[in-house]
Amino acid sequence: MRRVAIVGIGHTKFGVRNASLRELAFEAAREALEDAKLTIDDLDSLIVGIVSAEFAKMVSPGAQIAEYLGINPKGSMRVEAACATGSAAIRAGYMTIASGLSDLVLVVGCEKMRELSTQEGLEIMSKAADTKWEYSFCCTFAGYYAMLANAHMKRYGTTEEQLAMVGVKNHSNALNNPYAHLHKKINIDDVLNSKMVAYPLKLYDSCPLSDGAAAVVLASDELANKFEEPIWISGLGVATDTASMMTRESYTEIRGATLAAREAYKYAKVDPSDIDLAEVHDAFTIGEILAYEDLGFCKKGKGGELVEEGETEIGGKIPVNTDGGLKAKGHPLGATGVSQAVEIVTQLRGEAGKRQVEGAEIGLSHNVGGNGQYIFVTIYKR
Amino acid sequence: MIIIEFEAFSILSHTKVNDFVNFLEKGKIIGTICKKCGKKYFPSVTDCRKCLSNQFEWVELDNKGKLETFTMISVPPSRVQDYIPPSYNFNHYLIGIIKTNEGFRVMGWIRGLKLEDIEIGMDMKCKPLIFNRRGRKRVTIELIPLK
Ligand SMILES: [Zn+2]
Repeated sequence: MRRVAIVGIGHTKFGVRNASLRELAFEAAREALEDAKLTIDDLDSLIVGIVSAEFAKMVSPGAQIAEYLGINPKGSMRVEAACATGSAAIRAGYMTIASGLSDLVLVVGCEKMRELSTQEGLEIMSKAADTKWEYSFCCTFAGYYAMLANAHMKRYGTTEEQLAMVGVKNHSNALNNPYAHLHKKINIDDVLNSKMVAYPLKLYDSCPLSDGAAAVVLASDELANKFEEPIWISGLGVATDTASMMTRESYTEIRGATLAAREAYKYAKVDPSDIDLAEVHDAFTIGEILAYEDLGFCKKGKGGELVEEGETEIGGKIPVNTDGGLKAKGHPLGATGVSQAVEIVTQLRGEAGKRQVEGAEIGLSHNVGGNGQYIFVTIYKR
Repeated sequence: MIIIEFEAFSILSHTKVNDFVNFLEKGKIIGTICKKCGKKYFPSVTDCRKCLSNQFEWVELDNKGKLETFTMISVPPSRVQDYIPPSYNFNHYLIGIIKTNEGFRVMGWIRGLKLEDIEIGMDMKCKPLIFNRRGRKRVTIELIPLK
């Protein structure tokens, strides 16, 4: 199998954007191609990651994006794995190159969430959980994560303050990321006093609904070595679990994340202690605490303490979500996994400015689909 | 035989386990058991993942168990208008999952408790509920504290 590297990165401003899905995709693609000093003509194929075409009022959105990018008649397909779609798209791009089918692939993750009202958006997302057996209990995604939070608080003594600390840290990091949706410094009381969404999760424990896109150019090893600073995809792990909450074994971990991480570490031949920074799926603050534990940055149950001790801040033992995370940067569903890759590449190149993790060599992304049914863990090295 | 449609319980109407809702209406929460290998399922399935058999029987669940987890939804989705049972508050409703004595997990609306009264691990039972909402017959499951 051939090695695969990222040789170009692009990212749109996340937020409420007066731009269509295809225009967002182009913004990110243009930046990635310019970064790699390439044109559309140089590419062999395109992978598009989008979670729900319903958000953008279309069916088969990948084709409309391929057309707007001018990739026709080259090959293209859309990939979907709920909120982990971006990472699935990168994995698909990796497979396309590793197999020898293509040498140079553009991966674009995008989502246009604000064309619709918040209520309409929440309804679409609800259908990413078990529609047959659980839909009628009117749970939301915040509700599913809240169930994990309550179970974790009961078993391990994790506190609402510790959850809040995740939000405070990520909002603080986002201040130094021009692409972030939210640029607002908050403190623990702001989180604790914000509107309850699903007990114990409050507004500032939750990510916003954002429009946005991110793109990476992937290259085979012989091509990648001609670029200035290729960043290698050195480990991939994927695992799945039930969409149905009723058939889960545990509510105090995302089991698939533990399994996917194990696979990725083995693939990359590294340990959790080798990771210099991580991008994790903090759609809700409890998600980041579970990620610390599932990824092995601390023992199960100790995630709350890890954030409280400041170890996941920039300058700590393992900086997490240096770009603001989903919480403050925003979570345009299909874009998120690609956006995580963009931040890690930026960090490993040493181009992250005020949020730079000094001397970062190895980065990890953790991207969770739905309420835990898809998990992709990807490890990147200089 | 279809007496009430699965849609009385779900967003979906076509399923091979429509009898699940007919049993709910009769006051029973049922799973399925594979006739070939004996594996028991809840939620009900007609297809066994273990042995691939499609031969199954209905089996009533032990309805008692302990609360595994819960939440109180304060920002509800719009479908709450269609599905919430009477006597529940649209803007603050409690839902949870119990683990029954047999080891199955059942989701339901939590009845008769305030947030401050809830304790994970407390003894509860699951029970069907039939009601009308916006001119439609609905069947659902409630979780009720024991004692
Ligand atoms: Zn069987």
